[in-house]
Amino acid sequence: MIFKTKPKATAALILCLGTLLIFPPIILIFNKPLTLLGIPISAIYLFSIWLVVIICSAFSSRHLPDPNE
Amino acid sequence: MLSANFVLATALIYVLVLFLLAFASDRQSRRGGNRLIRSPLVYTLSLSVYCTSWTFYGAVGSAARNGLEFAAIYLGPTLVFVGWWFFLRKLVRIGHTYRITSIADLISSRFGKSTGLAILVTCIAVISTTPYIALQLKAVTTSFQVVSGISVLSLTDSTIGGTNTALWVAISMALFTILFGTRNLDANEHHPGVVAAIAFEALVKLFAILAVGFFVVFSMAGGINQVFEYPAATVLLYSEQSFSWRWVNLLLLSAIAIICLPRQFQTTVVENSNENHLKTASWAFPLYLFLMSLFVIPIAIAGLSLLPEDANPDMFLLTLPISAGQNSLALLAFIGGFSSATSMVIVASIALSIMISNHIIVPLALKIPLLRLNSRGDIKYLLRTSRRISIGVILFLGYVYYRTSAQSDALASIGLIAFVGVSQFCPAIIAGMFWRNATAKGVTVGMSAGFLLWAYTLFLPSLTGSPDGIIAHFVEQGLWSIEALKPQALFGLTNIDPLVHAVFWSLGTNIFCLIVVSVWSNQSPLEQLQSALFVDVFRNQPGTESRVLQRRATSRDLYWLTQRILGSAQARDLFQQLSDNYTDHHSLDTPDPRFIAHIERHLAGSIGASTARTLVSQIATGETISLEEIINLVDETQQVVEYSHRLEKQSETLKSTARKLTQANEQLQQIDSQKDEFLSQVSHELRTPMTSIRSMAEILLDSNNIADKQRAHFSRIIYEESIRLTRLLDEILEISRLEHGEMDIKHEHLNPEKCISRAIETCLGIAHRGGVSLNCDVPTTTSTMIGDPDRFHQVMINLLTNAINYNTAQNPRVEVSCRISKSYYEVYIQDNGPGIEDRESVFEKFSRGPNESSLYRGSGLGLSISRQLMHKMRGSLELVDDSNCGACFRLKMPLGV
Repeated sequence: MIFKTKPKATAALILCLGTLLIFPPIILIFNKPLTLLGIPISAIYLFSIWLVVIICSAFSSRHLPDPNE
Repeated sequence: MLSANFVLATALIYVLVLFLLAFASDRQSRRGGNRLIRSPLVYTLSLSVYCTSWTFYGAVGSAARNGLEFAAIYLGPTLVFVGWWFFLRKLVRIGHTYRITSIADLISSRFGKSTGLAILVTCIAVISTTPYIALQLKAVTTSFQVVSGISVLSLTDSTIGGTNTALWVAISMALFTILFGTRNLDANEHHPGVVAAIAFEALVKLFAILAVGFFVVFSMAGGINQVFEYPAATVLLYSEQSFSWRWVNLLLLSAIAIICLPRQFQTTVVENSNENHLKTASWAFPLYLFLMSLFVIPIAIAGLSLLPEDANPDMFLLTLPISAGQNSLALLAFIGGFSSATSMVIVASIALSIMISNHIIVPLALKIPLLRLNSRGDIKYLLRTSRRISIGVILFLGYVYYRTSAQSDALASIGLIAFVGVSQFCPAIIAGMFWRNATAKGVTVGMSAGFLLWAYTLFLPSLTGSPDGIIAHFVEQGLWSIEALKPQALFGLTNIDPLVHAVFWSLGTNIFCLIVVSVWSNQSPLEQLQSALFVDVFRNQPGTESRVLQRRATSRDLYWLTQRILGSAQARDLFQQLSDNYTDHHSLDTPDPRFIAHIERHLAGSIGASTARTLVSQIATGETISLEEIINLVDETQQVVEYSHRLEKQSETLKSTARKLTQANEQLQQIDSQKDEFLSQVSHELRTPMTSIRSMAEILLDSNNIADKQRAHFSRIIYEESIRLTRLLDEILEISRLEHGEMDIKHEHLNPEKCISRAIETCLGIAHRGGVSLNCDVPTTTSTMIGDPDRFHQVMINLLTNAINYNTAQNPRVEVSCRISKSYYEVYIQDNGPGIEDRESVFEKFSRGPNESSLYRGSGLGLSISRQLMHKMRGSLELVDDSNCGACFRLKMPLGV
């Protein structure tokens, strides 16, 4: 798994992708008066990106070396 | 409806719980049983001091006004923590290594331990944080009023009564902070009691907001989908203006704030006891923020839809449960908000009091001769007292600000003003950590300019509530009524959000000045040292600074100073520990620079780097900063590059050497086999005469009756064979001397005619005996040739005797002729003998003609020796390749000028 073999590159990738996805113009794609399961799409998008970034970060942090060493 | 006294009593009990918790944790920590307090979980929860009452109440208010915009305040920190490996890790490592006590200490320490810079940062921090503290007091007061008695309908009016509540809150917070925040002036600023209380409060506020959220969504609105069916949902969550510049701006600001807010720096860097905790915090803190904001939007929608239109959105968290008759839930929400406010106030006032005492009061006190702090005096006492007073003053300032600006806007705007204020530290921190050439001058100019612009474009316009309306007029008309100087439209930059406007001008100018001034100014030696230490914090070995910074001090003075700052017990422990480490090569009477640096770093952990340096400099003498060592330090990257280049070159050299060695080895093997061959040939050549000598000698010994004639014959054979043997050995010796270059060759002008005639004369006897006619055609010439007369003679004799002895023709004939070419004198020796079949090996050792006459048996070394002799005389000996019968040798001798 990429988290294990290249932890630093993965961490950088998560950071870059996370940043890119919540910045305009990409986030503007989801700024539309549409709903998914009754919930506005912009809220769904933002909160799911947020959660995915947190989960990925948890995985990647586990494989990064301990800073103390 | 809850009674005011009941709410107040609950709040007091809650504060009491905090006191007990802090007290127990402090005690536990002193006894060493601090596993839970020093766990990554508690560290993560303590970071949640970021979520103040502004985010607790204000996030809902912000969501009710601007939809998803509130999430930006949480997403910025999420990104910073997700990318902890690239930034926070280095920041925390610097904090640990150099015992950084505050954000002012970090910046001043990096830029040459400058006291001025520390004061500047402290002032900016205090000015930006005071409104923020006021905001917390205001939130507590307002929420108190809401939850205790004033009717829901008149909630917009928040000024009735309650100011006393704010005062009491301020006083109790000051008391708490003074008790637990200034208790132990440790060599590092760890406050386990405070951290435990903050972590507890983090859980309380999360629980409170989740509880209210669940209640509002599932009980009041009837489910998630029902919430989003309210018309307010569409209004809130979809707008053309969403995710514009303001969104980007807020993300940036919040990302900066999570590092630059003094309280955030305090919990993230200063209170961090283990760098590994960052690993957990990197996902757990964003998760905490995620949970905190999960119900914000639903609560805002419900509030907008279910409550009267004039209800204050900032108080939805309280008014929604109250309107549903859930007083206990409202009380829980109030305690949650109270937790957010108090944790912020406590940590912020600790952080600020450390800055004020370390960077303003102690340096000032040291300058006042009356206090006589320089010579003696208990600095520890001064530190503790000044911190206690500063905490009181900070909270009092907050209270005053709250009283004077009680009518100002929503919570969120005050919070953002503070964010932009502290974000002025960000360029200095990033430049300090990653840019070697950033200078103190650049940072000072940049930060001052940024701060002034912040005050002008954002802070001043926020005070429009002032009674005489001067500020409002000033904001509308600009300074001296100049259009271009309007605070919210500087240089005619209109049609832009005031926040984006302020961030652009203040941070932009800050960064611009920092870069330009840094490029144009120079670093002092101490700055260069600190810059190398900070930028390369992961590569530097401990003790690097003492390599550069040389100074002397007596250990008595050092001990005295340490005692004054840390107290006698800690000073004794520190010296005990250090003397155990350092006694191996230095006596404690004359501490080495490493020892002094170690002490200074310890003191810096208590009073900040700049003050520690001032104090140590007062007792240390002969301070020199080795520029050479600094250059070495700074050039270490360069050195690494150079080193790898050198390695590359070395490996190339090694490769070529290996190639040469292989070649040499092959040659050696060849030579070895030649030598073996030579040896076997020599032994063979020696064996032949030896065998005949032995057999003749045996015959002579064994048989007594041998005729005299026979005996004489045998004796002669023995004699001749011994001669031959001697000659052979002589030649072997000669060839060995030639090959080892031990033979001296003269280079004289010779008359060719004379030399050749002499050689021919010598050989005439042999020629006559062998019936060989020897003809000679040597023209008279004035030219000379250069060489050794004896060696030339030897070569000629060898060639002539070979030509005579090996000539088996009917009418044997040998002819000698001469010619002068461009630079050589050439001698040709031509015979009409059988010629030489094996032209290749004729010059090799022990090669002999095939049909050797029995009369003459050479050693087989003659031609080899001759050729080498000719080479030594810078001439040559060749076998001429022509179709005539017989062999023709050509001798070339260099012509004399």
